[in-house]
Amino acid sequence: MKGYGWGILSIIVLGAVLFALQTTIENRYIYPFPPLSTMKYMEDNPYLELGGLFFGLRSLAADIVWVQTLQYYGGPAEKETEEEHLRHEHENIHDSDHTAYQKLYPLCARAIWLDPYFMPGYNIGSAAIGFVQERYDEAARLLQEGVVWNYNPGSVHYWRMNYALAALGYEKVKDYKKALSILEQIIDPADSPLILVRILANTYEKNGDYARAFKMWQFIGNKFPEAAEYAKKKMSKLAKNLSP
Amino acid sequence: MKILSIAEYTIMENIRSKIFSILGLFILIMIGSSLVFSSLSPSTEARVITDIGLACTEIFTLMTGIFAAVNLILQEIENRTIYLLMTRPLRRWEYIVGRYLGVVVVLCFNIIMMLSMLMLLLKLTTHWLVDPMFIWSAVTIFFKLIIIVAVALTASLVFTSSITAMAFSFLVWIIGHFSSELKIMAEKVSAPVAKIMLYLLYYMVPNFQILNLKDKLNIPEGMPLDVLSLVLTYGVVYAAIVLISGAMVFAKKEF
Repeated sequence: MKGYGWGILSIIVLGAVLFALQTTIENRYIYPFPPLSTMKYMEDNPYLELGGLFFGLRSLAADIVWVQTLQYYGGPAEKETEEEHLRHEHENIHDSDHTAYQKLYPLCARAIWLDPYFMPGYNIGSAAIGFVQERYDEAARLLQEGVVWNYNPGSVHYWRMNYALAALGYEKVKDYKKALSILEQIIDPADSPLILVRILANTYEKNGDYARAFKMWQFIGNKFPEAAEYAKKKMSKLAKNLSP
Repeated sequence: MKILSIAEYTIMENIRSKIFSILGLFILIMIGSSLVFSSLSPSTEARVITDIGLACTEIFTLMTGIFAAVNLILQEIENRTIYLLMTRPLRRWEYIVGRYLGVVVVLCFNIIMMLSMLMLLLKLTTHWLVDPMFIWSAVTIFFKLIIIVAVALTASLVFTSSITAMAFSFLVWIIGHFSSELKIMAEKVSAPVAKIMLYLLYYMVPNFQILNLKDKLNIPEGMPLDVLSLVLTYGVVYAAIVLISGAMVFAKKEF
């Protein structure tokens, strides 16, 4: 490298190559995440979102928010304050009055904003909000977002979310028979988390199918030790309906 | 040959400075936090361990890389050992390239070690199978590092203060990850001056977001291989530009 000449020339040539590379990459690959301007529900700790974005750790930040969600849902059911209620109503994020676990939807929305390809955020989140907390519109919103971000007619996840949306609709109008016909297709008790299997068992019960509900609780008691006690209670309650 | 000798000397220097002790810290933090977080979210255990492991790999090697690159030449200037080297038949750019390659080799070894430990942890705790995207994400971490090491090395020559050079390198790291947002802002802003400035910044800072494959592990389509090869080429070209700039600064330095 004699003097600056070669250096400057190399920088110009390589700079042009770099520009061409960057524009080619941009044309061939679309940034697969929602932009910062679409970030919602920042009231708790937006530094996780911002940290995830600025340090390139979106996926890890989504995991942390998801752990927070599970911790929150595993904790005591609190009710929102009047101020929180008004704010949530203003943001149009819930469709029933002052029910428990109001932060569930915002937390799930935060996790999937960070990583829109995070399936448990949609599946488990919508199940807890819709089927358990009976806030069907919030759950549907979550699933709709999942369908948009994960549009792929060849993917099982994509169809599972669409089926879950249909099941939510039937559950909302209390058509448990039709809801069950869909839930049985998308929930495989042997391979699903506890919350989904519980939803299946509860829907059997709501549909008046006590024998299958009993069997499902029996299965839950055997597979999930943490729910064994509750499963026993449910089974003894169901046994009364089963007895002639 | 001269470049290789300088690189070898840099590797030995890094080993002597106990840079590899960071591997011990990595193991402790990675295993501890992985086990805690995965037990809190059992349905996503493999994902959590992978994310924590890759994030730790990146953060630890980033810190090691910036620290090593910034202090490489500054310490030699402070200790005045550089005068000895400059009396040898060694061109200045050869010295810079050799020093740079030495740090890059050390970081590459660190990444391989950390990745092996992460894979072992995943194998032992989950029914994890090797995913090609996982390997590619580790490769892109390395390519991000070759850029930031070049930036840190050049910054140390420009600023001649290790703290300023480190702060600048971290700033580049952050803005580089924000680059996709910069482009969105540039597209949305209406003021022409601001638009030009944002586009300029977007094209000037390294686009770490396109090299950030570890955040895209869950995207079913992943990143096409042809795009990936372009992305890796981008990393090499960017590092080369910064390194040439560094060599030019060093060439004009008076000792």
